[in-house]
Amino acid sequence: MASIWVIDTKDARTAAKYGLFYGCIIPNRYPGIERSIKVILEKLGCNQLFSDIPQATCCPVPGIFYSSDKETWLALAARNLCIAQDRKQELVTFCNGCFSSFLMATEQLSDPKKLGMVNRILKNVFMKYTGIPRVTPEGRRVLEPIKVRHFVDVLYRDIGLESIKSAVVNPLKGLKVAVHYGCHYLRPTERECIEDPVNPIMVDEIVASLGAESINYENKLDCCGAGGGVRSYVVDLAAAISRDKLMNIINAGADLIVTPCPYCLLQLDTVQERLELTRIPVFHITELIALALGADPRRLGLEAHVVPADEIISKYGGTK
Amino acid sequence: MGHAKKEFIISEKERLLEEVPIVDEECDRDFIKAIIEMGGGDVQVCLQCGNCTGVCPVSLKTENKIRNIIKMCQMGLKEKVLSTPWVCATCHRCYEHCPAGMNPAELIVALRHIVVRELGPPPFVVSISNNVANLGQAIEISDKILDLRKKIGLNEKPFDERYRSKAIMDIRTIMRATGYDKLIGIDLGD
Repeated sequence: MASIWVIDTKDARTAAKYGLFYGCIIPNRYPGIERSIKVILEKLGCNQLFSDIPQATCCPVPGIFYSSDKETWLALAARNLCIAQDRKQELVTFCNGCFSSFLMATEQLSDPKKLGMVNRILKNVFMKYTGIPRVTPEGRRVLEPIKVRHFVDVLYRDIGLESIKSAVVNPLKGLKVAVHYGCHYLRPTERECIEDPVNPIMVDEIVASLGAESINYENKLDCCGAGGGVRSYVVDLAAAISRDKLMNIINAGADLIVTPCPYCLLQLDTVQERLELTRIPVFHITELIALALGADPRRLGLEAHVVPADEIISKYGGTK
Repeated sequence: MGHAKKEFIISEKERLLEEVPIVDEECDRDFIKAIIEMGGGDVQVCLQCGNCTGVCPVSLKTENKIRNIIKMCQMGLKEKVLSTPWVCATCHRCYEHCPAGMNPAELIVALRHIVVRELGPPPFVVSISNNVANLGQAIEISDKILDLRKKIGLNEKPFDERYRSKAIMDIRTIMRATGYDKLIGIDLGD
């Protein structure tokens, strides 16, 4: 269904397969992640497959909206899904929270009752969620729900480790990386089933393909403590949970923490200032990839991080 | 550095260990109905095995044990429960480990719905909802980040100005249609 979003026709008829959904934290707190995503796609030569979604708004935060009014949460999420639908794109997220929110929304919208309810609300903004029309190999016309993807999944399954490996110009030899997956990357398992929830490997393998070593540490799949409103509601509790995680990471001798979630990044980065125990840089996985692919480290916005990564940059930032 | 020592915060153990028997008047028979209405119906299948508490990062650190919360819900101890639901990271470990297939995280969401409706939303819910209604995003941007964006070659404004006002109008229309503005207390003007 055509929507009134067709303001910029070139934009609406984008040939790009994937729509990039940055969420709230990346553009407003750690813009270097946004920059590193662009660098990665350029260096991997798959720019044309991806495009920004300029009409997108907050996913909206499940810890706030899903927790206070499910109807509003679903309608606001569906609004973003409608935009991807009109652009016939897969929705690519870089945040475990956005990923979980959209997956849960597509799941709920497969219930005709909820779909009807949402479409009655969306009528007010001239939108309708249907899914993307496709013709099956047998010639049947079907409406497919929007595909919600985590960028890690796209990198691993669609682009492939080999492409990343061959694009590495600054191998991160000797760098010991502690991977933190984050809860909503893994759970609930029936929804976030992109890989084995008790033994996830995709981020570890991406780290290894950059030449770095992904080290094992105690309780690797533990929560960072920030999710679900805990960080906003009882700061001390979130900090205490993060503290356990950070101590395990330090004890394992890591140089760097890497996560696929900017909210976990925000928590693990800012909490170190509060705890005054550890000084270990925390990177989003895209920032680490960009560094290995030869991005200019001065243009990765790493000054937005609370814990500086100067040592790592001077060692692995190339000659630029 | 040595072995990572677990830290325990918010000790309410003493208060909870006071031998105060639960009296019938404390039990609100309608509470379970409200929980079911808000989507936490499976609270009734809990067998009190404690698997959820064993894997819960919050239960590990506080006396907010999820198993106790579930039991108190079953007993209708509404007053005791309503101070707890925002202390949950919604990490869904409880759900993964529940042998009865219950989803305690979803129960917490139902309790949050009740808290928002009966006691009002906590301040951070109001401020983030306001941000979304006014900016389209949950987080405000600072001048420092605006400068940084420019410096590293991104569009200075993260939000595409061509679409911004329409997007915010959409959000506000949706919030009005569902009554979210009244529920949270957001002033949408006009």
